[in-house]
This record gives sequence, structure tokens and C-alpha cells, in this order.
Amino acid sequence: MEKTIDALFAAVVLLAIVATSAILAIELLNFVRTDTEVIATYQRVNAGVSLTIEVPGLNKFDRVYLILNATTPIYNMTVQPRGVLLPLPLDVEGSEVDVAYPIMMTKRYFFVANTSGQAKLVIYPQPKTPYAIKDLEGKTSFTVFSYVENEEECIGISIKVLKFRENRFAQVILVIPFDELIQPDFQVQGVIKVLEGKVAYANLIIMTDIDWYAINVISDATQPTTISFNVNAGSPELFDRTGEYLGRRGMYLALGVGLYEGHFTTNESPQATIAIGNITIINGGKIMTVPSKALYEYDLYYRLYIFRKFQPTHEHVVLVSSLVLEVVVFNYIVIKLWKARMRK
Amino acid sequence: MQLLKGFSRIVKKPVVKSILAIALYDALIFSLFLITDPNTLGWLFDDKYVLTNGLAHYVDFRPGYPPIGKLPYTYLYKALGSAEIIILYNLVTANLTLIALYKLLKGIASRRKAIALTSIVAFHPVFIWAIIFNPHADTLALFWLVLAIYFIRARRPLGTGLSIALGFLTKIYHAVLLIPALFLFKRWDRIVLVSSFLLIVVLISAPYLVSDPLMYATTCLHHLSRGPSESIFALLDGYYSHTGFLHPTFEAMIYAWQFNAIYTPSNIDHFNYAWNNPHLRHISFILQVSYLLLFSILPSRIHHEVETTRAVALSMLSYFVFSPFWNPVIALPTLILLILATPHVKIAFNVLALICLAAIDLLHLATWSPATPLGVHMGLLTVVTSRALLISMTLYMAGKTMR
Repeated sequence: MEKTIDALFAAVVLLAIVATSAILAIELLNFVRTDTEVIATYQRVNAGVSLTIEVPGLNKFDRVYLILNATTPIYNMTVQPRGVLLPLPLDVEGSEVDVAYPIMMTKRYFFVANTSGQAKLVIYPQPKTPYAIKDLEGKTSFTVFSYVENEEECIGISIKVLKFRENRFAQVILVIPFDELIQPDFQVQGVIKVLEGKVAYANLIIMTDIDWYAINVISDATQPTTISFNVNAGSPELFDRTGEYLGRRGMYLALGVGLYEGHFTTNESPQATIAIGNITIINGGKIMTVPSKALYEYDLYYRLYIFRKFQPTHEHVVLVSSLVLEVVVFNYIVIKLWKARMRK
Repeated sequence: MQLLKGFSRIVKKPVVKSILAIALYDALIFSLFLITDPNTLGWLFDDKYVLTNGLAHYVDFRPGYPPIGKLPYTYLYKALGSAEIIILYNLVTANLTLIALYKLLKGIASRRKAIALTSIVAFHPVFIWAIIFNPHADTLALFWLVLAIYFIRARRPLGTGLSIALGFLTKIYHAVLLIPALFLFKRWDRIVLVSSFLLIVVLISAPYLVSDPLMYATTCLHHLSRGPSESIFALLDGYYSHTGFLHPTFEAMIYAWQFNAIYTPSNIDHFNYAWNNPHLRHISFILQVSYLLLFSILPSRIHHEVETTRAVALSMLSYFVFSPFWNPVIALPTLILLILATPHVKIAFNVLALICLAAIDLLHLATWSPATPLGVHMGLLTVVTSRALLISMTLYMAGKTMR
């Protein structure tokens, strides 16, 4: 008789477990249905003139994610009112760089709402270039400008090192999307001018779907200089993997510009100013030219995501506590009945 | 003299011998760690991010492992911040795995064979790599796997349910073991198996189910959008990159479906992968499920302990070998499952197969170093093909001796 009562009780508790789980699932599904808000739009901007992005209807702990095109660099960004959104450091698996394939051509900012309400993001844009300019080693700040020499327009970039890496180098990469199979006639031609400061090296980096390959084009330029380069399948690669990238899928091409701490005295500001002329890429008989023009007026496209964060209510706490209790009771009865059967 | 005799008598005792062997092994591995001085803490970048920014795992941030697999490392890192303590923890879990494996093998094969096979596992380069380079729960996950199979073999549902639950809360894949176990256990045993599994999962998960069940669920759900890697399916699909793929750490602060909203699937992004040939994914899944079910149904029809162990090992092996997602460390269970699936095979064949597997795994690891002689493309093709051949051959031998 006692066993029958226990078995009945177990069945009732099991029903309660199913019911509690169902209520919890419905509660969570209702939350998930409306947990993402996206604003995808653009604004006409002038380099150097601020623009404002409104972040509406925030709840505390919501996550705010702003995605810009990385070819539209910005000087800096501020949050108004101050402290409403807390920025989280950009960190790609332990290193402070945003160099990863899925985000290569985007610039991402991530915030956590510190309070409910509204916020504004004030952005100070720089001139737009065809390149995504990113730190690869160390930390830098850069300024983009238009540089004209002998009626030839170039993209000027002034790089200032804020922090060298432990190896005493800082490297900035200028990335363009490629996304093609690399053919035997692959060639990259171009001109780089070192206008000011000291450049330890400049490499052409071929980023394929499995690895990166670097070919040196400038080495130890401590005086103003102009270098014309022509990289092809026969150009020696830094790890002796010359031409290994042929037949691979080239995802991006980049110019890596490195500065070395040892080149600068303690009184000297570690910086370099370079100018990049037209770059021509030949692959599979096709010729592509990367323009050397910095745009001061352009459309800034962005996507703003507001991701809601689940906050437990009293009802939710009661539901989970009930579920835990029900599972414990069910387990107790089941084991009791099982032991009784074993004894038989 | 008497003292020496007494000492030698003590040393000859099996328990003391085992303890001495383990101590020697630990000293050897720890010395290897000290000599190679790997950047073990570098892998704990997510813990560093969480601790630096005052976040909490499973509430603000989704790590890749469930709580038992992740939190011991987080707390050890937070408390002491030294790689040595992490390696000692790994050594403890590795010792537990080896002891459990030896006990299990001794029940299904001769003592000599149990010692030989356990030693090969202990000195397998990937097993050592997992101890000294890897602050992830691979060795602990192996322990729960072996323990669960041990309890299944002994037909003890409570122990099976508890170890599968603890394994699930360490590295998820142990939940697959529930399928053969459900077929094997009958009536009340089956209910006890499920209820004990649920009890442990719910009790340990309770704090996170209260705080944010969606972030907690994301720990598992996030893996569903991952692509293939380093397997036949990956190579057939044209993905030649490795298992991980660089991503911003803060992406782990949003739910899995929110992550999918900001990262369009792509055939170069392992974490949100778009298959070039989606049929490959289905083929992999169908193979996994059909072989898993086939070998899960078998133990319910056989009553011999050895055959039960083999069938359960083969069912888990199906899950791993047909998985599109592979790398030597993730696939460590394959090593143990292959041993458990072939207890009748001659010891020489076992040893040879395991040595070959170790060589293939070493070549696999070497594939990722720059300027490897074969190159990534050829290197991966070589290891994937030779591993498939070796596993097929071993399973063929196992089939030939199946009762």
C-alpha cells in the first residue's frame, strides 16, 4: 500500500516537474521573442564634424553593440550622459586587437547599460579610405589625411604609438577585402612614401583562409623616402613559404607598417607619417586598382543593436526553486522505490 | 637490514606500487612542464576578461564549457594566478582518469594488458599535451566518461546517472552516453538513471537557472552554430582552418541567437559556419545517429560484461568518428574508446595501433606550426586519411573477434 502511495506521489511530482518546466519555458520564450532591437541606417558626415547616434529605451544591463564600416575611421567616441553606457574593452581572445576575419572590415563597439533610460553616442569621424586601419601589435592612434605631391593624390596616415608590444614593435595594418583564389600571375604593385618619423618595416600581408603570408617591401626607413614595390609569387616570404599561398583563397590583403621602439630616443615621440599611392592588384588576368583618395564627406553606415538581458523576477525565482524542489523529491521517491525492489 | 626488508615488503604491495608509479608519472610530467614552460595561462583569456571587467560566468558571460569544466580553472586562476596550480589540478584529474581506466580494463582484459594499455594512454602525446598546455577540462571529462562506462558495465544505474550528469556538466558530450544506457537499463533502473542524471544537473545548475537561464543555455546552444574542423567533412567542405577561430571575447556576453544576429554565417567563420555543401552536415549527423543507435541497441541483447563495454564504447566512438568537428585534444576520448572497443585483440596489435595513432596525432599538431614540411593542406589530408584508415582497421579487427 505504501509503495502504491509512493508511486502515485512520484507520478504527481513528475507532473508538477513537467508543468513547472513548461511555465518556465513559456516565460523564457516570451522574453526571447523581443530581446533584440536593431537600428540599421546611415548619416551624411563631414570629417572632423561630430555626429550623434541615439540609443533609445535602454534597460539596465542591456548590451549595446555598434557596428561601423572600418573604412570610416573615427577620432573618438563619447557617451552622453556620461556613465549611462559602460564600454567594454575590445579583446580578441586575449590580445587587444580587433583583427579577426569575421570582423575585419568592421569596427565594433560594445557597451553595457549601467542604468535604464536613453543615451547618445557622439562620434568624431575621420576621412574615409579604402582601407580598414587596425592595430596588429601594440596600441596606436592614427590620423588620416589627403596628401598631394606633384599633383598626385595619396592617402596620408600619421601613426603615433601609444604602447609598444613586449617585442618592442608596434604594427598597424591597412586591410582591403580580396576574396579570390590566388592565381600564378598574382601581383601587387604600389608606392609607399615615408614622409616623417621612422618606419621599421612595411610588409605586404596575404591573408588566406588558412594562414597569413608576409612579404617585406620596406626595411628600416629612418629618413623620408619613396618605395615602389612589386610583389609576386616569386617574392621571398618571411617564413620561407614563397608562393605557398598560390591556389589558396586570399581573404584579405594588407599593408603592415611596423615601428620599432629602439629607433626612437626617450625624448622622441614614436611616430611615423606615411603616404600610400595607387595600389594595383593583378590576379587571374584581372587588374584591380585601390584608389588613393581620402574622402572628407561621405555616408556613414552603421548598425546599432540593443540586446536585452534577462533579469530574474520574483515569479522566475519561485518557479526555479519549485523545479529544484520537485526534482529532489522525485529523485528521493524513485530511489526509495528502486531500493525496495532491489531488496526483493 | 630489517628496515630495508620492511621497506621492500611495503614497496612490493600492489597499492604502494601503484602510488609510486603515479607519483613517478606526475613528477615526470611536471618536470616536462617546467622544462617546456608553455604559456598555459594564455588560454585563460576569457577568465582574464571576466575577472578584469567584474563579470560573472553564466550570468554575464558564456564560457565554452559548463560549470564543472570551467569554474575550477577560473577559481584557481583567480586565487593563485599561476600555471603550476593549473597543471597540478590537471595532473590530479589525469591520475583519476588513468586509475579508472585501469580498473575498467582489468575487468575486461588481463592485468598485463590493462597495465600496458593504461601506460600507453598515460604517455600518449596528446594526453600529455592536455595536461601541461591546456587549462581546459579534457582530462576531467575523460574521467567521467570512463567512470560512466565502468558503471554501465557493472549495471549500476545510480552511478551511471551521476557520472553522466557530472560529465555533461564538464564537457557536454557525455549526455550521448544516456542513449546506450537507456537501452541497457530496464524499468526502474531506467527511471533511476534519468532521475539521478536530472537531479545532479538541476542541483548544480540551480544558481544559474535562477540568475539567467538563457545565458546558461547559451553555453551549450552556442556550439550548434559551429562549423566543421580538421575532419573529413571539413576538408570535403573546403574548410582547412583549425577548430577555433579568432573572435572578440565580448561576443560571449550575448545570447547564442543574438550572436547569430550579428555574425552572418560564413564558410570561413568556424563559430558561425555556412556549409558549402550542407548535405555533408546531414550525412555526418545520420552516420552518427545510426551507428550510435545500432551499438546502443546491442548491449540490451547481450549480457556479457565485456561485450556490453565494447558495444557502449563503439556507440560513443560513432559519435566521435563521424563528427564533423575534430582536433587531437577534443578527440582524446577516441583513444580510450578504441581500447575499450578492442579488448579481445592481441596486445601487440593494440599497442601498434595506439602508437600509430599517437604518431598521426603528433603530425596533426605539427601541421599548424609555420613552414611545416607538408603544409597545412597536405598535412591535414594526410592525417585525416591515415587516421580514418587506422580506426577502420582497428574496428575491423574488433568486428572479427566480436562474439
